[in-house]
Amino acid sequence: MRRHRKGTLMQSPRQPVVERKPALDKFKRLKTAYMKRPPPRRPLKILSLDPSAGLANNRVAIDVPNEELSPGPCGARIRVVDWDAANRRFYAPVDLDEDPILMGGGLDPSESDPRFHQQMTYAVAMRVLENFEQALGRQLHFLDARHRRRVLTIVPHAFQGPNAFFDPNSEAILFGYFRADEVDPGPNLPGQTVFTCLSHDVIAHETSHAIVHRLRPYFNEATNTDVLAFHEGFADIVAIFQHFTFPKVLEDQIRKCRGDLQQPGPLFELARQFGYATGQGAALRSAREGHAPDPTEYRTVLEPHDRGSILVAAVFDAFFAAYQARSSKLIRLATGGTGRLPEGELRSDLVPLLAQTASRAAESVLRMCIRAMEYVPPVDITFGDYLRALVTADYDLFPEDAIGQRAALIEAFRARGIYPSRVTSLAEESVMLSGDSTASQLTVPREIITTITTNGLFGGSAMSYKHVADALRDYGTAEEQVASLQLEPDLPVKVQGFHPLFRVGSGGRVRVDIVAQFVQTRPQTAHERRQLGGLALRGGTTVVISEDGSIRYITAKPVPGEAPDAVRPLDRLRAFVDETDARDPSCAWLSEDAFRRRMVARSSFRAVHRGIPQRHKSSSKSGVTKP
Amino acid sequence: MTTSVRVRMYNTGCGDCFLITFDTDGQVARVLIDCGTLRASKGTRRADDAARQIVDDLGAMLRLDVVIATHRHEDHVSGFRLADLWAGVEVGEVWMPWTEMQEDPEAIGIRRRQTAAAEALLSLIERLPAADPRADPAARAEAAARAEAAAGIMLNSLTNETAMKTLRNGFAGKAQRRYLSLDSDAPVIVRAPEVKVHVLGPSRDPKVIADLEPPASERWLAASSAEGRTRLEPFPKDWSIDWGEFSSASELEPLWLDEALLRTINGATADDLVEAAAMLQGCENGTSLALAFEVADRVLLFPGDAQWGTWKAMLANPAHVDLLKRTSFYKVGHHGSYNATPRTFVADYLPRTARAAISVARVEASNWHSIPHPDLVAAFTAKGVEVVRSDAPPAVSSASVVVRGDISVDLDLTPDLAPSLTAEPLTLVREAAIAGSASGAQTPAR
Repeated sequence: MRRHRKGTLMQSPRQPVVERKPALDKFKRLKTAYMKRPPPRRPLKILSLDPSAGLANNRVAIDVPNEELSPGPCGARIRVVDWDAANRRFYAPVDLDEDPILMGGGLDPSESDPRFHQQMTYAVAMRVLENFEQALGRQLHFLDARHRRRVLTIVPHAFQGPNAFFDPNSEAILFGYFRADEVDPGPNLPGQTVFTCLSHDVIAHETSHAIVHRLRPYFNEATNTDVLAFHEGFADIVAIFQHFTFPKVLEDQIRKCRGDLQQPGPLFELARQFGYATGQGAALRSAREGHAPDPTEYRTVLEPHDRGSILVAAVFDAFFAAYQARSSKLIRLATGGTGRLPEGELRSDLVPLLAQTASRAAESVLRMCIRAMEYVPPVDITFGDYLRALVTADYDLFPEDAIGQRAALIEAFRARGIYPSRVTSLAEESVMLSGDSTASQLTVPREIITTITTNGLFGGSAMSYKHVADALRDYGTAEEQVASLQLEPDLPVKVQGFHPLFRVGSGGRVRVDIVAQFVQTRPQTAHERRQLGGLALRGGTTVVISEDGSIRYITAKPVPGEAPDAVRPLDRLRAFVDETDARDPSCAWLSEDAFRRRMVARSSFRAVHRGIPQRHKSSSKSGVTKP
Repeated sequence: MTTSVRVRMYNTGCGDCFLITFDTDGQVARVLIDCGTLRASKGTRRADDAARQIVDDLGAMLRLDVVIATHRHEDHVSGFRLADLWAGVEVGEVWMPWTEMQEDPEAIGIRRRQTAAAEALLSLIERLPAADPRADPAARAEAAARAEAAAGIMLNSLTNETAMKTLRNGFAGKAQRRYLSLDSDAPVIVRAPEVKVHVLGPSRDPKVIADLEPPASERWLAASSAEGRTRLEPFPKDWSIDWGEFSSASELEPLWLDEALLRTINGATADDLVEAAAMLQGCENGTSLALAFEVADRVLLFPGDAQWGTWKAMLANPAHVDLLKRTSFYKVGHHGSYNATPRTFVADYLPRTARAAISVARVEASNWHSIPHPDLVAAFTAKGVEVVRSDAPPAVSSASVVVRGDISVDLDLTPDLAPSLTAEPLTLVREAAIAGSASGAQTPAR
């Protein structure tokens, strides 16, 4: 079974203390640690679909780790602040510890109660954070530019407008609200107020942006056509597969489309409903069922959301393979071995089983996708890099690939024209990352590994952080090492981050690996920087080091160089900026100041999330085409 | 037969108005390309002045062989609003892009959607400055500047119906209307038999057409529907407290917002509108008729305001590249904006001997300062291409550039076209001049 252990190596930031009424003070037994233990989870309710789907049959009870909360909700890592800038009003914050709310397992879904909106954004964001933490096996704290911890702020009714975005500078997710069109309301009632903060997928999508930004802060520097698309596609993957982990959501669809279960259609359909609800570029737009994957799209589709959906579709294929491998057994069992379902309704006990199976498959795909984030380079990611990371991450955990998930994944990427650059074949072995066989035998000093490992388990001080970072930098810049890490010898190296990776290896033994990121930046003249629209010339290497100090994997993106045979030629970066300029009509209207920063501005999530670059697929159909 | 060519650039402020005169052994053909001024333009003259001047300049022979409207933007057609004036001018043919066809459902659809989007966006912009009277003054001023910029862009895009009516039905005589696209038959100028006209855009290829469509409606147009123009109050008042109460309640301190976050929240919508306006304008510029006039092996290139879609197709077509390489006159696209002239065209194809004309004037709106873009002008200059600007013509006339005050600039292209004066002989002349000066003799270059 592909399952991780829950709750290991992690403690909630602040455990709430159970308090009792004075009348109960006399009973000593009630004061023991066991009796005072707080419940580990907090139940909360969310809407499973957009409110436009109606409130009946549209709620899911989920639970999140129990932490100490003040009204907001305001926790240790996520706080919800309901400030409405358009009306300059602050809405009553929800107190999730209020007795009636606790008894009800959270507030009931209500569009007219802002406190439910706060509860839902908190619950979904916490769930995303938890999914990341479980997959990565470590606790995440949001950080500012100087590596100090800070809280992620969620503003559920920040402004009036059909948009929602993550703003890295203020570490905040802002949701808008708007009135549905009178003439073309889509799935909404004409003129109804639509809250973007009531869509599970929008919340999950934006929270994923925040976490990816935490893990790889340079992934919003658009240095090739894939970088922003990766951010979008990955956020969609998290949103969709997290949605699929709620089995109740799948049950209806599975019941309805009983005969079609052998096709990915119904699941696509469901994902598309979510996609529509997100309004975020319709997650699965290019994953149309009935269409074979189109390898030309990877070359021609450039808008980040659309391009990101190519990635989503590829991962979706792998999910479906996993689901099918598991469900076919159940169906054979239910049909006495024929595998052919009888006419009429599905047997009522089969439906939850299938839903459960799909939900497990979704969970395992989600874990794999998140875990791959450990194996991606610090800058300039491409879909090919991500494929290599996925395969490597999965191999590390499940070397045997019993249900053929990795093979399905490689095939799904190949069918969409996505290849890692510089690999000789698409065999698993060559797609996987490798250490450098020519790498020196120089190993990371034992004490560094011990410090990182214990810090990972028990927390470390700022002092030990700096100590380790310096030691790692010395290691990375040692003469014997620089070449194999593909770092520039004449540029300073910054240790962007490091952390241990715990995993239960073969034979039940705990394996510890260390992931470290090195980043370099080449200084530019003002003129050069202007030419690149404010992009920094950055390179970086992610290294996975095993517990004995040797290098297991390297994934490197060297600093762009003038030489035409450089791994990343500067000319290619310039051409990319030129082409982006040529495509961007607003380029005609930029002030000199904005012109100098144009690439940076284009990468802001706010700009990317404006619906504006969305286009009709073709004008040959009259009227409005739905995304 | 030899043909002489003069291009007259009328000064219309920020807008285009070009009159080409082909003279084939005394037989004269006149082609007018666009006549328009942007409303916000602060130039000394406007399209109406130019229109009257053109009629004046035609003299006794009130006839234009061809009138071309590259696309329906105000800065290209506003001069045609003077229907009475144009009713006195006999016109042989009127050329417009295929998107102006009256019967074609595809063209109707694109026009309808573009206009609807422009109107909706404009109404959204118009209510923006008043969006929040309680915001601080600096933020309000900034929002107003953004709105003005966006409105400036969008006003240009309205239907310009009066002008289009003249182009469709006006003028004296029985002007034939031709709607051109990349794959339509090349039109001819009857009285200029030596001139070959090439249509370089717009295309009817569905992939290129996709770029002409305004953005999908439900995202931002939704917010601009009649109902959406009012401010929404999502919850009744008693759910909330105001800023004063919120920021002074110390028990809510964990929820207070820092300055950076407040700025982000407050500025969340205005930028979107400028971006939307630019995006929409780009779609419309994409409908521009892009033409090349080939005379005696040389090319006059008039791309209108063609955008990347048209240029990309042009640069990928060997026959068109061959034309680009022989350009001797280039009407700089979109008044010299940064991305309406591809870098590769200037660097790799535009000959050094070519001349470029930018029809432009200062516009008092914050987002127009980069037109023409200094980088583009620098690229021309670095290449040695002579640039003539309508708002800053050369101070003195020369043999080939005749300046008439702030009214117009004439460029005589005949010397460039004469078969005896192709690229190599020009170089020889220059070399001779250099040699001459080296030996002490003062020989004027050309």
